[in-house]
Amino acid sequence: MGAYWALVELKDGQPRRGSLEALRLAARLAEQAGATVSAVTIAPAVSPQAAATLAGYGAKSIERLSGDGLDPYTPTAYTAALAAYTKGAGAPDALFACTTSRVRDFGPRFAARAGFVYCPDVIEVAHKDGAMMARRPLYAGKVLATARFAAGRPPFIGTRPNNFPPGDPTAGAAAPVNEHTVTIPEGDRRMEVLEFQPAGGDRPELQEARIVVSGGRGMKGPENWHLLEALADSLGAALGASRAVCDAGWRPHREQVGQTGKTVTPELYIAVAISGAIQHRVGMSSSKWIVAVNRDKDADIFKISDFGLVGDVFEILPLLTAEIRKAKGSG
Amino acid sequence: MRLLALIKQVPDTFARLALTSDAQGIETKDLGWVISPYDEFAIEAALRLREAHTGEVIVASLGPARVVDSLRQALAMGADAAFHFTDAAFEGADAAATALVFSKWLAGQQFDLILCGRQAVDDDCQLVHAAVAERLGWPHVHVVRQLEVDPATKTMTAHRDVEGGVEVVRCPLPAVITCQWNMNQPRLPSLQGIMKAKSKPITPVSAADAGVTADDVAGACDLRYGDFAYPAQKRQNKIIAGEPAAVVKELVRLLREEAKVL
Amino acid sequence: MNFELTEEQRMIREMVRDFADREITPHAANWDERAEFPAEAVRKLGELGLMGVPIPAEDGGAGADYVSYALVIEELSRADAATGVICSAHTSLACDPLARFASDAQRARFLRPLASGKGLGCYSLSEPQTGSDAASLQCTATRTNGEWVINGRKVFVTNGREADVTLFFATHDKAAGHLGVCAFAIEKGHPGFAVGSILHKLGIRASSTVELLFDHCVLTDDHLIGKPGDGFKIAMSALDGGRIGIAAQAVGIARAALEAAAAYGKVRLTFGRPIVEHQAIQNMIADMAMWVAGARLLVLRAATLRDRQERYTEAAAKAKLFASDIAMKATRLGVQVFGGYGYSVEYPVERFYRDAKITEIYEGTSEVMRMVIARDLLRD
Repeated sequence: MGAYWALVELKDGQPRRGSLEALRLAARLAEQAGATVSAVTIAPAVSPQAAATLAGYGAKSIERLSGDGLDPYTPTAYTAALAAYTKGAGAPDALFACTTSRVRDFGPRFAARAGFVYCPDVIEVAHKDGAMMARRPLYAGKVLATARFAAGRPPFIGTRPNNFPPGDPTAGAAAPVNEHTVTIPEGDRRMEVLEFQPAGGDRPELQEARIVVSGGRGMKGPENWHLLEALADSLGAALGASRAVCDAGWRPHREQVGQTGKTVTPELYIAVAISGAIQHRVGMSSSKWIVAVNRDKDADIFKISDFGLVGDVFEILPLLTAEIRKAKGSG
Repeated sequence: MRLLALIKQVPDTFARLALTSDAQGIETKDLGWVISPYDEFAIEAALRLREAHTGEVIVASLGPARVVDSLRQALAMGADAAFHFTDAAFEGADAAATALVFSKWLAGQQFDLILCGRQAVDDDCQLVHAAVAERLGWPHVHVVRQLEVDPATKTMTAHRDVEGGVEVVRCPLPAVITCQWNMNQPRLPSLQGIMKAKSKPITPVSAADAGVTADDVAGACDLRYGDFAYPAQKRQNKIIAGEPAAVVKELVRLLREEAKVL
Repeated sequence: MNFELTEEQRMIREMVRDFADREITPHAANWDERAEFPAEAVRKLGELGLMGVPIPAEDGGAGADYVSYALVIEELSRADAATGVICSAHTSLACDPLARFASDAQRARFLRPLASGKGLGCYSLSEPQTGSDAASLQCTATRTNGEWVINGRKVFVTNGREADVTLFFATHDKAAGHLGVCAFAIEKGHPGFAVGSILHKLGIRASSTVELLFDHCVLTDDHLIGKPGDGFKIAMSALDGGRIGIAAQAVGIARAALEAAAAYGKVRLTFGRPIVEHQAIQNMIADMAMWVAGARLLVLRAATLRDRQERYTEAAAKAKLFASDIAMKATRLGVQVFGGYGYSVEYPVERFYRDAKITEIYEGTSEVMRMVIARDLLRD
């Protein structure tokens, strides 16, 4: 019988949403292939509640790796831990994980050490002709392609966050938690973590950001920008602005999106109180998803948006921010 | 200090990509090629370290003949010399195979620090740096936004982006780092720099020079891509009507489940 | 015949384009509106070696070819025509004649700071009553006690307000006509030398165009470039190179209009389609593209002749005449493609339209260009 592993990250004692997505995906594929699924987690202890959740999403066993040198996290120590466990337990047929920043950090190193085929940011996985295939974006999302894995090496599939809905856990499922102590060799313990500085108000770079929240003249004045800032913060978004607003001196020119400002291509562009004049559209029309919020139902911006909200932005913004915070809180 | 910037040449990030007629790849004729944007931060970081500590900045890249343009660009920025990994055996090499080739060659070199961009903007694997570090047995620090090196004690201290903030780490040299967006402002090559670049060496490195065979490279290849397609692009123009509270709930649901951006 | 740029020329063009996108384009409209000299951008141009592109390295320049220089001016002008002429006037009209006609000591003193990007140069020939008839200068240089005393008023001096070094022309013998003209270099702040009124202009507003006033200004022989009577030759030969610069500027302006129109046309909808799908607009864009391509070829041909040290006066005149003419036509069409929006300062095309006009006038009007071309063709 084959074995699939799902790498699980615990945050505040609970499995992260992304880990559950990867686990559920592994379970679904395991069922098709007639394999069993183990959840593998490194360092933090697994509470009975967490174990029950993991079992509910398809883990038949939970393997927790612990040892000296795993706290705080360093990529080499985690690589060593997982590689040691893999060597001892025998490699699985496939490893699944959510492509989080931590997996980005140590995943490829582990893959090189343990001989896995690392494939991050996957949006679809399927069995075909006895092999696994994964679909992922390339060229900054301009195209999608199917990745075929080299034979003889287990795939290490990093799922794109928020792409595989985990659904609800199966009630009453249970799985044993097996503890494994791993020894981290000296050579993998040479990185010292000196300090952690929690994020300040640093917003992402406008042209780099995944999400952009942009404001226009309908915001009525610079004193109202805190509403947009709160929305941007809830999304980890960059702030943009229309030319009118920059010309009026409400916002700095570096935030200007449009023909005489910056061209942005985020995954999500939220245009708030922006009419959608052509020179602004030229700067953002390649965004993957466009949401417009405007009180004028005939505003041009609605012609190029995917989702439009017609109404009072001052009412909608705080509600939207709250709703997003709520939705992300469970991640 | 001996500094190495590993760079990758990728299609121009503003280019419209056409697919080949069999949809097994992108159409590369008529494409503009550039240094992968994150790699520019790596070149700049290396140049600044050389300015602070004296030394040599070498730049290297694996790919076909057109890669020479990117190497020349790095030389124009101020790098001292370049290596072009070019060989029929390297054709089709993916990230894992590229990392193998680099590491074999690096085993015979003496670098203090290897700098890469956080990711190559074509396949976004964020892999080569980690696999190279693993094969060399060196520490790696990913997503660096600030870097200090102490050549006397042979250590480096880096501020790196992690979830929720910035981590400050220290490790011994030699090491591999990747550079985060806006880690620095990559310099434009001056006119004099451009003119000097043509007399700086770009040395070809074959498979034999690197110490690998065609079979080694083919065997190290992990992934083959096919069935290329464009993601769906049409705008929905959907107006969500109703009371503000309900409308925002529905929007968030759509963003999460349909757009999958939350 | 090779129509391809060398790798080096392509890299230079690419670098200037990147610089222009970063440092010029975001500010050009602002500078134009406020008639503000782009001091910071010019300083950075100096640091990148772009303020002495074709000047020999031993004089502090980059020692690149004139083709590269033409590409630089085109790229700068595409982003902002004013920045283009600031660089062109400084390089072709001030630096270049100094490089070719000044003594070693004069080059070290006047040229080096300019070509190395640490100072700005300008050229002053025109006077209130003297434009195309350049030999009939009224500004006098009187030999007194082994020195030169300059009196007179000059107009239309590009970079005049900011210049650290001014190359100007005065006559020491009006009766001798063009053979009486002398060329002088003078530094900012020299006694008896002052900047007069500043011209408010239709276009290229970020570049300063000023009056220069000479009131009993005393200069030693160190300031005389060449010999007395060499001035006209120096002035005209500077203009040959300058005309390539202005032609390149015109190409840049026309290209800016073309690119703006094409980008806008893809996004603006009328009758349910992007306007570029209507043939009338396609015809406009096709014409603009053809004009830009043709003008650029004339510019690069003139630059190539100069690089080969062949006579290029006629080629430079043709390039400037043609390029300025098509810049007028292209910017007019550019505004038309934008329709009503093209008339608004919210969009950049109205600035291109205003900027284009001067290219038909300065450094030799289009009428003078025709004289030059006809004379060259019909001589002997």
